Amino acid sequence: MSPWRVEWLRLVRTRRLIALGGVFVFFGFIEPLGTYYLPDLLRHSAGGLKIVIPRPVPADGISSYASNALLIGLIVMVFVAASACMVDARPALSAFYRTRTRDFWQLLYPRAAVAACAGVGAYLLGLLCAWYETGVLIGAPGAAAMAESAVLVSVYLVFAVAVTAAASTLARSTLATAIWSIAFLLVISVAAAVPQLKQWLPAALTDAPDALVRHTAALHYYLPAVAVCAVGMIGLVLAARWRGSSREVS
Amino acid sequence: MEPSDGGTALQSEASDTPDLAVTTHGLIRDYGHGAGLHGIDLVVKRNEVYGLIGPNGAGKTTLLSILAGLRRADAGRIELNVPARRVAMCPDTPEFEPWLTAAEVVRQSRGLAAAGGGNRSSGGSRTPRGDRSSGGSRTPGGDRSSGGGRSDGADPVGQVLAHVGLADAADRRTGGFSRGMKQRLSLAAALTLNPELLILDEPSGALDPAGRAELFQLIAQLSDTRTVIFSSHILADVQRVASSVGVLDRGQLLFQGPTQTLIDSYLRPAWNVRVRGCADALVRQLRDLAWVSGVKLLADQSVEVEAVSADIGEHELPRALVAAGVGLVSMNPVDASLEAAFLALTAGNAGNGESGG
Repeated sequence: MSPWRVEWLRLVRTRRLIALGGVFVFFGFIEPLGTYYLPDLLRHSAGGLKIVIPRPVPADGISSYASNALLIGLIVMVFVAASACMVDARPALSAFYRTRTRDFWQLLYPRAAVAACAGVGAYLLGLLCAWYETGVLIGAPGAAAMAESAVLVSVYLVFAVAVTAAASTLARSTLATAIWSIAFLLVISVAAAVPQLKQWLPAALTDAPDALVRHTAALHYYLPAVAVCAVGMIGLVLAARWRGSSREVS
Repeated sequence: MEPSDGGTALQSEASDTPDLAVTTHGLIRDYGHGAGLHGIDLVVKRNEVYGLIGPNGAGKTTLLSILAGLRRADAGRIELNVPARRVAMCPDTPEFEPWLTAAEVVRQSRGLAAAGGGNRSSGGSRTPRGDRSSGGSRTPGGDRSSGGGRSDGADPVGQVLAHVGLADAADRRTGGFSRGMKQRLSLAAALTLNPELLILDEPSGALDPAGRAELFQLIAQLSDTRTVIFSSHILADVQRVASSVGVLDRGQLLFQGPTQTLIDSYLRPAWNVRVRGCADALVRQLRDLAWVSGVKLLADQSVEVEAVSADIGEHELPRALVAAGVGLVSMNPVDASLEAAFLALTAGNAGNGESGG
């Protein structure tokens, strides 16, 4: 049985795939709906106050999905990736794996790759749902902008999995791995508030759905962040490989 | 305290000796406060069953983990004269992905080894940092055959599971397995790799008596074609299957050599004699003999005779029985067991340790 099939079974049999897909699909359906009915909801709850809200535009539905999916969904994805990448969480299981492979990379690569594919796949599935429902309720967003934002967010999600894979070789438990990863991603999100840094940090990619669909930014604006993501992923993967290979089974 | 006869092999033989499967030279792993390994020179011959015994905390798991490449030594050298890909280890409390079935675990073991090129640590010699030097001979061939080393076209996974008594549980998920079942599965997952060196850490710890008997019968069979190193607390099992034994205590190898040599070395010069006829008379006669240092009549009417030395007793006791004119039913050495020898050896070491501060 190949390591790839084992990772697929890990996702399916532990129901992590359902959890992951469920979160993104949930936001994919609920966010455009909430955006569409938000004026009505506010009007009913405002009492005597008169609230003026602009009519929602397609970008609002997609932006709302992306912001929630890249918060709650990202956390779920990091936990799924952490539980897969944490080879040494249980020493006896770690011994089983490590005595059958020469290179730690052969253990980590399928785990991280499948987790990344699952995360990206779940995000894209949710995005399709959000796109469909936004198109039905509010209006169809531009296909080119949607495609571009999907690619950029996918790059960010793969980067997040690389962060998790590297953290799994530093921490000793799945929870600690997830916390370290989320903390790191949070720090670079906060750092992105600095205008001079924003364009260069991976967190900039999380703004892409909103900016691209509203046409407030062009694709080339995000290329520095994509480049930093690519270099960062290579560095994180090399660090994970080195750190994981030199680790002992306690 | 050292045995007198050929037991100590703390100076290991030449590393290139082809009949040696594993040798270590001055292996040190210091955990502090005396814990760890302090200069282990292990010598394991090819195709032998080597039993590693010692009290809790003696360093058995550390030593086996270092041999398997799961931990590093601080100093010393390891030489494994077996090909890479052909070393397998079973930990004392095996774990598997709980959502895989037993058959899938065996297939996973094969898949990992096939994809990963086998054990990362085996073959050649290793320095404490785990670097592999060019030394160490390789066994020709190393091809992985089907489960348990068979290749007759039948399902190798089913074969190896049947071999360890898990055929009925092949399609059950391992999350519900008992520790004993996991130990059997661990062995199946190792055997399916057709290892030349099999390292077993407390392999029978969770098995029932029947399971233990089956396991050690299997280990005895394995020694025809491969080398087995195992640790165990159950010394009767070690005595039954291990041709060589290493006694580890406080990180030091107190004894290494043939199991029988260890037993003989620490044998009390005492025998339990069962006679037909009047045992009281025999006791009275034996008390008068100069070479007899002690004699007593036991509750079961057998006589325990202790001599001033084993050599004198072995020669004089039969003569004394003939002279007494009693019918001999049985005559057995007292405490002729690995357990007694082990206790004598480690008790002596404890005393030395205490006196030495």
